[in-house]
This record gives sequence, C-alpha cells and structure tokens, in this order.
Amino acid sequence: MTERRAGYDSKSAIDPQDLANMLEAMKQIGLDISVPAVNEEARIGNVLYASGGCDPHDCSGFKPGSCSGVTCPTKSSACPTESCSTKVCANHTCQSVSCEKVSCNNYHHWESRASTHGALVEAMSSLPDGSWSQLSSRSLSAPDRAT
Amino acid sequence: MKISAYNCLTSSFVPGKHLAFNALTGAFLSLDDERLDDYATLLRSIDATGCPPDPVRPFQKTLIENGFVIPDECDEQAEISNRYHGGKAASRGLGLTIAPTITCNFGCSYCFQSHSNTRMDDERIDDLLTFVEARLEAGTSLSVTWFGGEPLGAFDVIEKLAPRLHALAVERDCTFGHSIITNGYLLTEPRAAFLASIPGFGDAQVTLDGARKHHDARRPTLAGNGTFDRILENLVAAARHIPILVRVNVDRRNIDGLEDLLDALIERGLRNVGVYLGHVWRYTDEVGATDLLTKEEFAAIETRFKFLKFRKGFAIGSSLPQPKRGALCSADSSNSFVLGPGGGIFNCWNEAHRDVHQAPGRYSPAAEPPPGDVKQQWAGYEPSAKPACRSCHVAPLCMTGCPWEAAKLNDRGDCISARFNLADQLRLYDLEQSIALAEKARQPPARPTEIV
Repeated sequence: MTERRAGYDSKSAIDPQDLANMLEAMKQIGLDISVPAVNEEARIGNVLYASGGCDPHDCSGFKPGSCSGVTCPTKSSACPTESCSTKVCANHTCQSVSCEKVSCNNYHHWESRASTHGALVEAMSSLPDGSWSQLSSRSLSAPDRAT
Repeated sequence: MKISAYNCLTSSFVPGKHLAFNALTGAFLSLDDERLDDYATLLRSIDATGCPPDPVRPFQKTLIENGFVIPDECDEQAEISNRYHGGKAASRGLGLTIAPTITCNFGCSYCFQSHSNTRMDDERIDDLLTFVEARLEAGTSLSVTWFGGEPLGAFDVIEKLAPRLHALAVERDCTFGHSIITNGYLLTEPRAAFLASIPGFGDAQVTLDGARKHHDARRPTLAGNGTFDRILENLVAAARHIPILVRVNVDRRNIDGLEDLLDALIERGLRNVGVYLGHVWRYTDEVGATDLLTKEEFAAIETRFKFLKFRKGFAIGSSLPQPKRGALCSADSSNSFVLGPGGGIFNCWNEAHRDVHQAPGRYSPAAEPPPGDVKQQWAGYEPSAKPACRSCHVAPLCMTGCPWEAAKLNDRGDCISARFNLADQLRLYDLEQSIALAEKARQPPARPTEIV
C-alpha cells in the first residue's frame, strides 16, 4: 500500500455518504473519472478571471499579448540561479500570476460537461431524499471526515 | 534543493487518485498511486540528502519543474513580496467603484453601511468625468463597478455616466468593463437591457439570502415588506439580457435555507446563474444584528454548498486557486478609487457610505478641503509583516487577504477560506474538470475537415 506522507490531506467537509452516492451514480451512467490523465500536463495558473467569472465557452475577455510584466513563477526573480523573464501570453490575457501553459481548452468542453453533468444530476436525484446529508446549521459541529 | 513550503498533497473524491498543488506556482497535478510514490520518494530524498533520487523519474522532473521542490537559493517569501510590490508598480489600468447614491431602499439587519440621502448631481457627474479624464492612461483599461447604497436608486446617474465613460475609454484606446452590485429590487428588464447595451458589461451581482422565508426576514424593504418574489421576477427577466451572479450572505441564521434557494432558482429556470456565498462579517461598526460564522465554519459551509450546487445541477464554479500578484483590492491599489456621490474619494468599499468631509480625497474640485494624497494610508502596506502569514501554506494565494480587516489584526491577516478548505477546493475543481475530460474521452474523434 502506498505510504501516506505526513501532510497528506484526506479530510473533507463533505459527508462520505454523499460522495459514495455520487460515485454510485457515476457508475450507473458509466462515467469514470478515476483516470489521472486530468491536467496531466502541469498547469501553472488558470485562464479564469480571479473572480471565477470566465464564461464557459467564452474566452473573449482575453486579448493577445497582454501579459507583459508577469513574473514567471518557475523562473523566480527570487531565485538567483534562474533569470526572471517577462512572459507574453500567446493568446490570452492572464489576470493571474502567470502566463505559462494556460489554456482555454477545459472551458471549451463546457457543453459536453453540461450534458454529462445533467445525466449525473438525474442519476443522483433518483436516490431517495433521505440519502443525502442536509446543509444546516446543525451540521456546523460535525467534524471533518476522511474521504 | 529543498521542499517548497507551499505544497498541498491531498486525496481526490475518487479512490486511488490524488492531487498535488503548489500555492506559489499554482501548479496542479493529478496522481495515481505510482505517481504518489514518485512524489513521496522525491520529497524523502530531498529531505534526507538535499538532492533528487538518481535517476530522476519523469514525473519527479515534472514536480521539480513546477516548484514542488526548489533550489536552495530560492526565497519563496521574497518572491511573494516581489509579486505584491512588483505587481502594484506595474499596474496601469484605472479601476473605479462608483456609488451614484448612498440611499438604499432595503433595511438589512447586517448591513455595513449607514444610508444618507446623498445622490450624485450633474455637477458631481461632470467632476467625476474630469477626474477620469485626468487619470485614464491611453492603451490601458477602465473598469467600473456600480455600487451604493443601492445604485439603481439613482439609475439616471448610471444612464448619464456609463455611455460617457465608455466613450472616453474608446477614445483613449482602452478596454472598458462595467458591472453592478444591486439588491435587485429595481432591476427591471429595461434597466437590464440598458446595462447590456453599454459594451463591456460583466454581470449584475444580486443578493438573495435564501428562499422567501429566510430572505424576507433578512432583507426587507425599509417599510418591512418582503422582497424575494419581486427580485426573483426581476432576475428571470434580467437574465434574458445580462449575466446574473447571485450572492448569498450567510451567517448561522440562514444556512438552513440554502437548499431551498437553489430549488427556487431551478423552479424559475435560473439554474444557469452563478451562485456563491458571502461571509457576513463585522466589517464596520454599522453592522447590526447577526450571528457570525467563524472563518473555519464558513469554509466548511462553502465546501458543502458547492457540492450541493453540483448535486443540483449548477456549475460548482470552482476555479483553481490562483497565486496573487499586485494589489489585493481597491484599498491598497494605487489606481483604484471608490467615488462617493458627494465628491469624496475613498479607498475601501466599507467607506463608500461616509460623508464627503470624512473622505481622504476629493474628485470634486468644488468641494473643500482640496484633494490630499488619497492613497497615503495604504502606500506602505506590507503583507509579509504579519508573522502568522509567513508560515501559512496558502500565503501566496491571499497575501493577508482583505487589507481592511488585516489592518485590525496584529499578528495575522484576514484568513481566506482556502486556509481551511484548500483540499476540498482542489477536489471540487478536479471533479468538474474530470467530468469534462471523461466526456471528451467518450466522444468519437472529430473527423478531419473535408475540402470540397
């Protein structure tokens, strides 16, 4: 079994039964998200606006070459052995710290995500009401649970 | 080499999958058990010898490239400080929060403002435009947030200002963006259509504190009448023209109503609006009766609410946490200003309701005394001066958080939710992204375009 290093965080505020319900619903519709190919390419930064307001399927807010002056995190000005080069984002304006390896690809999958998400929501809603935990002030004292 | 102070390694929602995030670089990786072993082996080797294992496996190389392990010379705290000060110095666009009026038609128990009847007159409108003309640098950006009081209580001011500000931005070859924060009671369809007609409109943030029962108890009109039904009607109509973002201000009193609110939005066909939680907090002395959640409690509720949204078919709206750069908000930014209706310039939204005589500066030359150095109060703000923040694993994401609140605390900043729920934020982000990518993998590859 894989050794769990100190600092491995497995606590979650979400009820494990809710997660089990979700995974069961995924199984029902044949949705497998266990493959660790997600963001296999390391992503530095994100194309989302800081407020999370990047509309799905809409990257119109990003303009070419507007990221000048951004510090590339892996070539930090605080690292004397590496030069800090100004990066220019090829096709987008980044409002976050970095311009490297950003992509709108994930957001262009929104329509298909909506379709899959819709099927999953339907499968989850077919479970009886009592299957899910309630979001209430009474749950405030509940301890975090391991996922 | 040494281990970065800003690594987060966590389980995902899916058994056998793990997530690694570095808060300084923003790098985010998903790992299977084999990669988790690579991660553990690399960090163990660095810890013991200061060197990576030999040979370095490809995934370990990825971890090094993305800042999970860094050269000994790297000073990560210096980098955070550089990003703050460097970003501030490089910032050029003009950001304005404009309060056309401080009047409000609501009597919310937890409001942080006191409301006078001040509203912007034509003379102040001209002064404001003069102020912008003098400060808007060509080829940059002009960003406007309509704020109040209730900004739609002086809609005629917005009608006068918005087209002129847009025209000025175009004339200076600047991008223009505007959005509005409103209680939604006066957001009629024609008004939404007008806002949409001025290019660059982002969204209207409207507050609903639950379904009717909770909302009406917390956000009545000044006369004490309910407002939920009318706001919901307005949102249905306004959503035909502009993006809507629903903010839910939570304390202990309305958590029980969150699910009912989502159901009410679904019932009215508003599942596509963004919904997020705001933390009711005692920002100013004006805040009245409330029952505050602690930061940690809020973070837990926020996580559960995001999962509830997902379960109900709303977008979670989980963005990957991003390292900050530059000013934290309008208060410590050298080129962002809060402009009150009476001619006063303020730094923070929490001051917008104050009288012009309490303002640190004036945009109206007619007002006395003459303008001072508005930004002096925050010019020397130093995020790295908070001892507790120096050892915090999310410091690059917040840089002390809200400077207004951080200024009240000696040893630490105003903690953001990520301090308590970073792992869940990463899991929720991974969940949404994974569903999109799993769907993509199931689709047949696109056929090559045929040239006829």
